[in-house]
Amino acid sequence: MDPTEKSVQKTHRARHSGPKADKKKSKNKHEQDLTARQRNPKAFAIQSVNKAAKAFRRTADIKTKKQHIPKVDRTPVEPPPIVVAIVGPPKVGKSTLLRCLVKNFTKQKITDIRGPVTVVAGKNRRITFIECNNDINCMIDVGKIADLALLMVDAKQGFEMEIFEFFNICQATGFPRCMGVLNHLDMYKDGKTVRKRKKHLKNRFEVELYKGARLFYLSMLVNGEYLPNEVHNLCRFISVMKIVPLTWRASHPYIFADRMEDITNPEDIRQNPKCDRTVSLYGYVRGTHMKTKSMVHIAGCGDYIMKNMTFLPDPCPTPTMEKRRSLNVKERVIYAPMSGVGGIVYDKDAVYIDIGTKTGPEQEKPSGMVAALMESLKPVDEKVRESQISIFKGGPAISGEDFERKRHDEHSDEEGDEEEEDEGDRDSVMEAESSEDDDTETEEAGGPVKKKRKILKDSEDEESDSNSENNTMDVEVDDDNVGTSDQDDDNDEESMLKWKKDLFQKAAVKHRARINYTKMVYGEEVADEAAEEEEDSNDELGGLFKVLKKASGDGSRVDKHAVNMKDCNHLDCDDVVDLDQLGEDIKDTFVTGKWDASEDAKARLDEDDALYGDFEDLETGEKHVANEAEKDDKSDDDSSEKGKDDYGQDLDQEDEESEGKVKTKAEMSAQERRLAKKRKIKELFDKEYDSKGDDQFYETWKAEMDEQAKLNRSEFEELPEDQRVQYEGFRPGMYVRVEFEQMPCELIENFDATYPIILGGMTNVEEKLGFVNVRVKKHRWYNKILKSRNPLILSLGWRRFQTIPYYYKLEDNMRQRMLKYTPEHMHCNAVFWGPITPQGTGFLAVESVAEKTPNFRIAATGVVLELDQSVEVEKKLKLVGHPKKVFKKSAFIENMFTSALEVAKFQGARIQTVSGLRGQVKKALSSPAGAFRATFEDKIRISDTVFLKAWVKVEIPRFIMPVTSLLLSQESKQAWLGMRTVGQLRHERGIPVPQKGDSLYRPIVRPQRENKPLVIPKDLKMRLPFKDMPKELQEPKQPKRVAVVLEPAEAKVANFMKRVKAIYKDKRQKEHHMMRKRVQEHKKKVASQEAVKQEKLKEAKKRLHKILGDMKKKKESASHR
Amino acid sequence: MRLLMSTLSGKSVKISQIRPEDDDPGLTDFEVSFIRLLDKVTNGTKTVITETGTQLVYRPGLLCGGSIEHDCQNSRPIGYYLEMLMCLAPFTKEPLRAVLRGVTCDKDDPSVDLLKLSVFPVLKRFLGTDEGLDLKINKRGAAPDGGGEVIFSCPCRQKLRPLKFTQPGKIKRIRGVAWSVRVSPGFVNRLVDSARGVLNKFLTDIYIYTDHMKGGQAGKSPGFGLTLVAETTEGSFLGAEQVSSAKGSGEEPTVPEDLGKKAAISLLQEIYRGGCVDSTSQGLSCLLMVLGQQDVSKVQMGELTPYSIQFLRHIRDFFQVVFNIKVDKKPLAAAAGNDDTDEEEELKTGGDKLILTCVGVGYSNVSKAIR
Repeated sequence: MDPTEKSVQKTHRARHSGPKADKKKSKNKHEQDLTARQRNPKAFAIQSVNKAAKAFRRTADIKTKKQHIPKVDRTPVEPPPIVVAIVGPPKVGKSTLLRCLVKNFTKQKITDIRGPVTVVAGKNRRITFIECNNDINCMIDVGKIADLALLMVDAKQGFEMEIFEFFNICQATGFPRCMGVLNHLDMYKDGKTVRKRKKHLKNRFEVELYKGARLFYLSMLVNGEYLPNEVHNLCRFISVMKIVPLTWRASHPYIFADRMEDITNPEDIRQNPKCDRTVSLYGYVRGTHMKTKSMVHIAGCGDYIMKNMTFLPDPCPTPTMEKRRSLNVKERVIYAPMSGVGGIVYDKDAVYIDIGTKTGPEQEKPSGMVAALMESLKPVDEKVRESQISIFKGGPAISGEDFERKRHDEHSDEEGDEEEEDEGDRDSVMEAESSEDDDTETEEAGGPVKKKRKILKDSEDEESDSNSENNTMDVEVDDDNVGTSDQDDDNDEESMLKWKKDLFQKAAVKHRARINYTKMVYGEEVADEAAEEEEDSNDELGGLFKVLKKASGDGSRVDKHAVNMKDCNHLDCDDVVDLDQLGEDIKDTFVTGKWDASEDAKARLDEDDALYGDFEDLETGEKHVANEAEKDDKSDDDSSEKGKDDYGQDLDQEDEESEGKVKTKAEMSAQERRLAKKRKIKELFDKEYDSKGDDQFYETWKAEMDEQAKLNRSEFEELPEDQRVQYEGFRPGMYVRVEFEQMPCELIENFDATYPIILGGMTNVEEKLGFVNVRVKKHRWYNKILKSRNPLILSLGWRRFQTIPYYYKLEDNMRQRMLKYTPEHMHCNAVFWGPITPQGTGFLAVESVAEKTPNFRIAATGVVLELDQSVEVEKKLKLVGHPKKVFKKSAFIENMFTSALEVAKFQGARIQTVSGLRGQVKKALSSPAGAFRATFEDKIRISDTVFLKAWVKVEIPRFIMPVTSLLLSQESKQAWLGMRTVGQLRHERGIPVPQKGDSLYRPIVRPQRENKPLVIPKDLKMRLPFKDMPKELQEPKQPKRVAVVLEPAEAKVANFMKRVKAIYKDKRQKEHHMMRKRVQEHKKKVASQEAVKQEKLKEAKKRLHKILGDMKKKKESASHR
Repeated sequence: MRLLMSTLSGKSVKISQIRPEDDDPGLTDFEVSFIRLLDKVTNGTKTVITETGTQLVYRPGLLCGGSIEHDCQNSRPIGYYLEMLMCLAPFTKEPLRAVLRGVTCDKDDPSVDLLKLSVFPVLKRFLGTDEGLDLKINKRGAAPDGGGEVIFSCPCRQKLRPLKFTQPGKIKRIRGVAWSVRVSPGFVNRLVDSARGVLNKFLTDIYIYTDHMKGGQAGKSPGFGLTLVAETTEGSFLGAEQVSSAKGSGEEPTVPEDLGKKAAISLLQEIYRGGCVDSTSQGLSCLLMVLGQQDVSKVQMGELTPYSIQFLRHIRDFFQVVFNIKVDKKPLAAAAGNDDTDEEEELKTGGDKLILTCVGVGYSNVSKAIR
């Protein structure tokens, strides 16, 4: 900032001689040895445009990949303990690990651990450990709440099904952190196999999770415990682990109950052991703010409305922040009420005492007390106020409720003692209390009550506004006016209306009398239940619908407005207004009016000067003076408001500072001033330039979110705890007690601490049921495909329930076509009747939680897409009919419908025959019910079958059954049986699958076909072209030969002639042969002669050419010469 | 209003004892009409009304939105229906496009103009953008017989944004709409003149649009009115209006000059009440703050109207959300001159301003589909 400081710094001077310079020189080679590229790399930065573009794109990609959608950081200031679950197959060493971990954190040895254990792990980290057993219900529930899962793996066995199942469970719930712990490495003898095994398992683990997933090794057991340094290492990892915020958990409050008490009246239980119980559950609120009296889902039990919710002092507090590295022994608190360990806990029902290192749950009373005194960590007197004197653990409080009530009564008596005298019972006390609160009217229209109310109000007004007497008078007058006018105008009117008018009136006079607005709006807040109910019923009259009026004769139009006014949002203005006064009052709300200090242009300018006014001031030389004046103003004005004072002080300080600066400023030279100016401009430019580009949007978005997070944290910070709870709900990190009524007795009777009890909070809409559309995929390791209509157990949101899904496919025309089975390797959609859950929530499905199978149990996973109250899933329907009578192009079709009404519904529908002839339904016939006339594009045959292809909506059964695994007895905990499939039922009862005879396959018998000859009509044949005319090829008529019987003489002659002919023939043949021979010889002779002749000719030609050549030569030589 | 909350929170309501001792007991026609409208907007709603009409059981379904048409009863203007619809519209499955027919402006409910001018900016702040947010007045219909038609369209959102709006700023301009149907077109000008007469003292940037509708667009009965809205530098809108008395209502006929003056005065009163949201949209802004994410929302308002108070109570009953209501400190005037020491005092910004703070319930729109 300061220019003088910067200039003081010495610049670096490189050595040019000496050993250092030599060393440097030897590093750098001779300049001339280097290539041009090495000498001046910058010049070669961009060789190819494409490459550069690619590189740029890559960097941009990497940059964008790093960005996440900014979310409001909702982690509380003091977060609840993180939940660390230890998961694994049986006999892998989970309990031992848990013991070792607890021992490492608390230095206490606890042998019998049941249920969750909360320990303090560090200065700002607490951990709740749970061990997850092998039940799939348990694994699902744990997967929903665990922040970190330790997956125990037996090195000898490798990864077992449980681990893989848990991975998938985690995936469906948003994937909390997972860490592997490899155990039983001492089963291997030599180091090499151990190393190989480790490597193999680690690779597999990384495949399953992510590259670089952490896998711990526990090498051996010593005295039934793992090596301390290995456990210590693991603990350190756990306590510094960053927890990922998961969407579902960040938007839903939940409590992982670490303690449960049955506070039913013991007498009721004695009379009826199966009576509904009143139960209080304890735990830290996690996730987000939890509201009292909201509905929660207890996983494995059902939906319940909280009767009561109170916050308690933290049983396992994080130690106060001091500058120390480690915790001392006292701060290493452990809290595990289900295992019988924990600090002293006071609450309504019982007192709990930490029994320190003692492990046995049973403890003598006196020593317990002593221990209590010794080990108490907090000032006891604080807690005693809230506590009662009952010491039995788990047992009902001796007189807790009674005592409580009595105390409460006394408390309330103090508040409203004057009313108490009039009305004895408790309700009336509360009522009086409520009426005391400023303005809530109870509906009693009697005179005395009203009067009392008025008095009360007046008195309160006086209280609140003691400094200005006049104002109080005004209020009184106003109130009276209202009261009397009300009474005069319509006595019959309900008090509600009056009260309303009263309110309105008050609102009008508010600027004079200070009224507590919160009380005005939520006046009945403090009132008793009963009073509230009455108030509610009153609301009903006045809320949506207007106040009832007793039969008043005139039903005129004017009345309408008065009546309607109750539900309308229109504010009538009073007609009589002093316009000038009004104008004066609102003068400053216009731009033309005065601006407030922070916004006033002049003030802003001054402020600006204070910030960067190093130079501008000097030009005017004024600022100094102005500030002084302002300072004077401030000091003169003895304002009563605190904020003002603060402001004034701030300014004073500022002034002093600036004064100091001004001195230096005056001494600055022109050069320095210029420098300063330049620097400022550069700063501005840098700021603008850096924030430009694609980052800007992201950055502003992020900043917005951060701001919101800051606001969320700071808004209610300074309020007292009970008020804060009222506005925000119970924020995460608070230890609360939740009371439930009418819980099933099985919850208590079959309570097992190893099963987690989760109170999952829900938003308003999630209590409802509806049709849930999901995208689902059968798990690739599940060895069956899933069938529509088969019941399936889903884990969705907090719930586990059985329902009947229908699978469907979204076709290209957006038709939801039902599928009978899920595709084998593809996503499909499904719809089922279930709880409304926000879109994007993951779920997983199992077919049964009861059966013990070595196979993979998770059937499918998916995500919620859409919620609705009706379904659009359709399946194909083919209606089949037969022609009854066929005309030219129309036909009567029967058997397709059963009544004329049905036909009427399908009029105009497209039909077709098997052969593909298309047609249309026309009109119903009268005679056989359901028959109709149809037209086709051609004449159909009587033997044809006619189809009508239609789509019919599928009715989804509204079946949902929560998996109540918590309520089952110990032995049947893992055997929850819900609805069975039809197949299962058939199998159990030995009923064969019914089959339609029609659907069975039979050998196809085809009769031999006889073709009739083609007959072409005569006239057509006549007209055919010749080539197409069927030709009847007749055999040419041959003369009939007659056998000739010769006379002997004739025969003799004939014989002679025959012989002569034969001889003649033979003679001719010989002659022919001879001739051929001759001809060949002659040809040879001629050829040889010819050859000689040719030879001679060739010779002659040769000679001739020679002569010619010679002559030419001669001629040429002659010419040359 | 409770039905509205019920629809949003998914809780069933049973309203009994509806005017049992009235001349005309039970639900009125406009209430039944409103229930019909709810039925059109939602899917799977079940409503059971007893024979006498004095008891109503309402089981809400999911909001589906889409295109709907509704003939509103003439006994209440469209504003009554539209106000409720505006609360529901951000949470529908598909963007809502509603055609409402009936009386556009009447004395007892905010008119469509007022809703458009003053409530829309508030709605816009929650939605983040005003893309697709529109109210088109096709026809105007004055009080007794109606005949008006408006088209309301609103986009739907998965989640609303939290609102932080505590600096109302200064009023920089005044706009308005003067409308008349089936009366002389000169009426609107008379309205504008008289209103400007009052307002010009405060601000010069005043522009009042005149909207005289004729023929088929003019509805069935005569009437005129003036809606004024003041816009501040920070983008908050304060609106007020006045409407002429209906034909056959038994009241004396309204003079345009009086009406204009009255409207101007009611605007001044609204400014007196002040705040970042005006009295008409107090309820809506409170509701949408509650239905936001689990973040703190803060808004400054003027005096709470009885309607808003009732609204806040319903919010408490249905969503268990309690508002923190504090009186805002009045801004201080700046030191104008160096010598004038008495200048340091509260600005004259009218009535007390309240800051309402609440934490959203983390409401998300469950009906909108994701793909």
